[in-house]
Amino acid sequence: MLNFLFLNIKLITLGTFNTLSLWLAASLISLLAGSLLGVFRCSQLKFKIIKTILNFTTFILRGIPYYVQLLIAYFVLPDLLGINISATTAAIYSLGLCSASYMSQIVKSGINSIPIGQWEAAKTLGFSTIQTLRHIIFPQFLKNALPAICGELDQLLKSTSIIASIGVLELTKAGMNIISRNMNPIPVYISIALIYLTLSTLLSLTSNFLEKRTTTW
Amino acid sequence: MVNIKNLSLTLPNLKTEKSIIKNINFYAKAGEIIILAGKSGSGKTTTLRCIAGLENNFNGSISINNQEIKALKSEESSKLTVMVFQGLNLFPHLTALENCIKPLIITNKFKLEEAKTIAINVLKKLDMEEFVNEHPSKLSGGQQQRIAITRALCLNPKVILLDEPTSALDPQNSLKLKLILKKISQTGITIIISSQDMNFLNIIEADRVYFMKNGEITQTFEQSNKEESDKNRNILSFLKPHLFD
Repeated sequence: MLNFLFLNIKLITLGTFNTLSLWLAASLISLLAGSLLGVFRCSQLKFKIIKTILNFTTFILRGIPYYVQLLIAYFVLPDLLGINISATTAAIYSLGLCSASYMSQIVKSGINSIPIGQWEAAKTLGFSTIQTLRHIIFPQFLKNALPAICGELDQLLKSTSIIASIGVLELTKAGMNIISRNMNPIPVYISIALIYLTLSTLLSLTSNFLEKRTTTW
Repeated sequence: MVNIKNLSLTLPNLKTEKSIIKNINFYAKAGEIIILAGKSGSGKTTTLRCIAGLENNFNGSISINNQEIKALKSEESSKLTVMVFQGLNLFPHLTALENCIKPLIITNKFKLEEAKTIAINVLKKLDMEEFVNEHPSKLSGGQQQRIAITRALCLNPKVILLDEPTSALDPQNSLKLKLILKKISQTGITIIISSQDMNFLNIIEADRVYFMKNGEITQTFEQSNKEESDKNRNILSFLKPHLFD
């Protein structure tokens, strides 16, 4: 096993680095788009038309499996729109937006879970809606929703393995390439599984640390 | 001066529209203590919510110092009136001091040090300076109540609205609250209280009491006797038959 790792360390390191880069980029899209979608969909804001459009968008994104979305992003959209999209770009956007639809649900329910009295108190004290969201709702939301947000990001990390299907060299694809050379899948898949487990554990520990930091009241 | 004319509010119910308050008229001068008394569901809280700008679909007129509340943004109306809720609604992630200075910084654009000075001065007046760094969850009901009042006072409004202020207080704290409110009213701030707590109504020296039933003011009691000692006896004898009928 150690001998195998030593021989293929370069490819596995590259795959791990690419997996983390893809995850980081998709996480940013997920957090930004998910927060925006979630805030506009929360019950305290009354943008009926925008809400309907966003609800429909998240319905579509959540209703189609991520693998199918990835295939559409890479094979269908370039043809339909007449543009050239690299496999990496298609992977990042499809993964990021798919995760954003779940993230928006976390943000929406997290904001809705804050008692309406907090909004009303802020309003009588002269806060605007954006000021209320920023100074009053968001800090309370973060404490409640942090475990769910970290859970979604953890899920996102593991979902990057599907990107192998469109030929992007991430960790799983690196493993597949090694197997095609040495025809010995057992050490390869065990090593890859251990790397995913390590990354996921690190994310979990970070989540626990952040939860403790935000729970000071 | 608070002026409320023909105030009515109808909210959509499941099938029909429900009239919550009907044709309310009353006034309050600077420095007066006004009580809206009545049983649960009589429309006291809704009336306060309309004055605080939390209900905007009402008919009629609410003006404070000749400014129509309906036309004001929350930032402007908070300079005229602030509500202290029955559930207090302190911000749990902020300390007592932060609860008081945050609105000053956000709404009144004070610098941090200025806001701190104002808040600490008011907290001192209400004997709360030793709790400045505590979060609301670490404070008793009475202490939280005083923080909520401090938070409102820091903004220096013309009118403070208190919704069932004694619902979480023991008699001793109710007495403390009465003294605090008296002090506040002497500075020229109008206080409008909704309450059905007979013990509190027994001790508070109100200038006028409006008795509400089914969304309407059915009786008004005005202090004619200026002797402080007689005020509460008069209020009590007025309210007793209504609250205990």
